[in-house]
Amino acid sequence: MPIVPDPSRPLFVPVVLGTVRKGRASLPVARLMHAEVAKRPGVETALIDVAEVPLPIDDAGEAIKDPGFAAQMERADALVIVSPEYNHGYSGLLKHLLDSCLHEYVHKAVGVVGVSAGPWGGTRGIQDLLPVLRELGLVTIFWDVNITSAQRAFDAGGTLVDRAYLPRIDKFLAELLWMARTLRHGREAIAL
Amino acid sequence: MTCPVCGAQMNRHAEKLVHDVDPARADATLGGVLVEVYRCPRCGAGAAREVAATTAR
Repeated sequence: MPIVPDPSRPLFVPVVLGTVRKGRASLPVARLMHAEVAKRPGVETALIDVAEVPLPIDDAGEAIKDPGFAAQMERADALVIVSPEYNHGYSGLLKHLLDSCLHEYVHKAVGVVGVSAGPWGGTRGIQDLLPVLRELGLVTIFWDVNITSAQRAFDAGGTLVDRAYLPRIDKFLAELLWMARTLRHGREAIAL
Repeated sequence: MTCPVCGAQMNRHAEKLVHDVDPARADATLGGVLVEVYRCPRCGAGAAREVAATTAR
C-alpha cells in the first residue's frame, strides 16, 4: 500500500546569497529574505552564503560538490536566490555554486530576488539566470523581487528603509511556498 | 528504490539527462547519461541513480 506523504512536515526553504563581492549590497537583502521566510508557519530556512561554501576554482560541476551544500539542496523544497546583477549578468560564483549539484534540485521550486544599484532591480541578471535554473531541474515561479538602488534600500544598520518592498515579498513568498508544497507532493506521490 | 534513510518504497518522479559526462559512458541515442530521481514519501529523503537509456522505464 502506498505511503501518503505527511503535509504537516515543515518545508525547508533556504536563501542563497550569490555574491562574494566586498561591501555587497545583497547581504542585507538576503538577511531580509531569510527573516521573512522564517516568519512563515511550517517553514524552516537557512542563509547560505556563497562566500562560505568551500568550492575550488580549478574544476567545476558535480566534481567539486560540497557535502554540506549538497545536503541542504537535497533537503530543500524550494530556494530563494538573491542574485545581484553585475554588468547585466548574474554572478559567476553563483553559477559555479549552482553547477555543483544536479539531481538534488529536480522538481523543486525557485524564486529569484534581483539586486542592482540602478533602477531595474536585477531584471537582466534574472532573465539570464532563468534558463540556467530550468536546466538544473528547478521550477521557476512567475514572481520576482526586484531591489532597485540597493545602496539606498537599507540604512547603515541593514534595516529596510522602503517598506513598500514587504507586500511584494509577501506575494513572492506566497507563490513560492504554494509551488514548494505542490511540487513536494508531486515528488513524493506522483510517479513519472 | 528503497529509501536509504527510512527504508520506505520511494517514488520515482523524474529522469534527467546529464550531458557533461565522459563520451564513452554516454548513451549513443540520447548523448548523455540518464539519471533516475527518487523521493521518499515517508521522510522526504532523495536518491538518484544512473541507468542505461535502453533499460529505463
